[in-house]
Amino acid sequence: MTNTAAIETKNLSKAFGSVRAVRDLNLVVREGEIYGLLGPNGSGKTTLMRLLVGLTKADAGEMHVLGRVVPDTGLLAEIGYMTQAEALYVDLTARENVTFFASLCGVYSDTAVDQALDLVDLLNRADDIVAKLSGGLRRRVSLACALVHRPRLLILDEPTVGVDPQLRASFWEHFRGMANRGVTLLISSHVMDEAERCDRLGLMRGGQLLAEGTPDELRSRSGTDDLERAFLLLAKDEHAA
Amino acid sequence: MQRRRLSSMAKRVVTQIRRDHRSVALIFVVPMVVMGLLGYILRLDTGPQELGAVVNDLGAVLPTGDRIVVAGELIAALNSHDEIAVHDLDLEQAEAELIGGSLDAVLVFPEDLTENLLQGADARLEIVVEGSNAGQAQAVPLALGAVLGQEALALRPSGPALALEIDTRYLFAGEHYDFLDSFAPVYIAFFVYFFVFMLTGVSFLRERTQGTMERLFATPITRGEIALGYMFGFGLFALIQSAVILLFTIYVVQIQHVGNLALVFVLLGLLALGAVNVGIFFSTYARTELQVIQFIPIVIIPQILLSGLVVAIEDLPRLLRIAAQLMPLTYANRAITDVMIRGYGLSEVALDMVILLAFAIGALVLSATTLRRQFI
Repeated sequence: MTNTAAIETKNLSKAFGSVRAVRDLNLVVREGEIYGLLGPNGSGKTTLMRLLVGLTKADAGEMHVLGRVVPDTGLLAEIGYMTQAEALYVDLTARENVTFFASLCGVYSDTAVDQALDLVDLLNRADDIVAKLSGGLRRRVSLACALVHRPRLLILDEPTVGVDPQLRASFWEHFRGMANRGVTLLISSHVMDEAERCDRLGLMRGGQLLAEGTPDELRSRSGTDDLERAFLLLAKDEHAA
Repeated sequence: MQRRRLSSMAKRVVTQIRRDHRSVALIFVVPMVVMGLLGYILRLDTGPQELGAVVNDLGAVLPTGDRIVVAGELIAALNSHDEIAVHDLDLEQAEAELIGGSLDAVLVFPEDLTENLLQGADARLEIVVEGSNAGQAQAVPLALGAVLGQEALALRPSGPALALEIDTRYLFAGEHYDFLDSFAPVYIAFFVYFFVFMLTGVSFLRERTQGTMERLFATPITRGEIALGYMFGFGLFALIQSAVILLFTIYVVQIQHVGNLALVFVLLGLLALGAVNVGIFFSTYARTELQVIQFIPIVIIPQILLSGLVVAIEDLPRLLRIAAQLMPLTYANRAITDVMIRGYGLSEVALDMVILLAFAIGALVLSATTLRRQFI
């Protein structure tokens, strides 16, 4: 199993001053699965993702991503990262943004750019300046920037915030399609109906994994049919213990 | 208008500004520092006026049988003034020191000075000044001529007055050059530096505030590539800007110049490349665009005051002279003035060019390393 792990962390820790954002975290994400990170604000989801991409340095512990030790700049061409912020050049068009980020990862083909824009259903607005696009449309541009270079691993930090239900559904169809082609996805969210669509879930709180498993496993472990209730119950259990 | 609402509004503004400690400090500290420095250097005691004397005067024998050399008498008289120091030199040496800035003017006493004076003929004396600073080029000969006239009169309290005719010669530029002609070169350099610094500082800051910097670092791009990319991108506009300012100043404002404009353009380009990287460097220490603007008093104003724009660098006290030598604008000003007013060529400004290039490279390394410090 370990040789097919896309992400593996051992005793990973990171603190910002007195705030311990990630604490002794052991996480394994298998190749080709959609792993959902759930947890309240400030539970360490974003810090974990930034650690995996090499944007911040771990205080302790080890990280292996796609079989290589992080940090490794060469690795970044195989990772697609979408931040919570839009992180777009608002004075460029959607297409120019996607083309730019593609080129940074060594992808210079117009077809790849078109395909990425098509995937997020943006071809008809591709040549609009980003500043003129609505929040939801900008999220789509961000996603296109993250996947244009066909990465083997996608790390998406709350990708569907501000996205309408219809588009959210189509995002998740694409996520599933990519997973079927062998792409690994690590997606953070606090929307429970999205959690349902993940292969496995990790519940984070206070920088640690409280519970982990498929949605069904989590439900049966907490003895409820409702994932949201399951999460609340599991969080409480751990707190009591 | 409701009073409560109004006071809420004002209170909010005050709280915001108070919380930005750097702004508060700058509001009070910067004007004092700038005014203090400006007052200091403008009232600087620049020491005595340093004159060179090239004495060719052969003298003459008076009817009484005594030998007299008027040049020597005049020099002795000038030396008796506290604010004047005269040094005997040959012409070549004197002109070299004039160009180097250690002399303010050179007096050339011709062979037949004494002879002509005694015979009541036209006695001509030459004052040589450097010329590229229009104000000095006009003021120095005028003041010196007046002192010489007085001293000539005093030499012969009785008998016919010595009638000295004074000619002024300029090594460069000359009396037909006005204030604008001599300051245009340094203004051009200043504008290029200032705008490039501001533009890069603000747009690089935007890169961080809109989150794209974080996105960039999640791709294989290196910090050096980011800094160099900025340098080339903004460098292009800086070069276009330099060309436009230069051509406008020369053909529309019609300032006088003698030098090779291509060389000036290259110098401006080097200055601009450094400014791009200084902009990147300082923007990493700013959180808002306001704070980028607040770097102007730190980066730009000292360079205005010390780079030779206000006071000649030779006249600054030691510490400030050292500070001036750490500023790229100092070298750009000197080299561009050399080319535009003195008509110097590549070989004479090559050293300044190399120094400007070194500043640009140093700033590039500095900006690339500060990029590294941000996330890891």
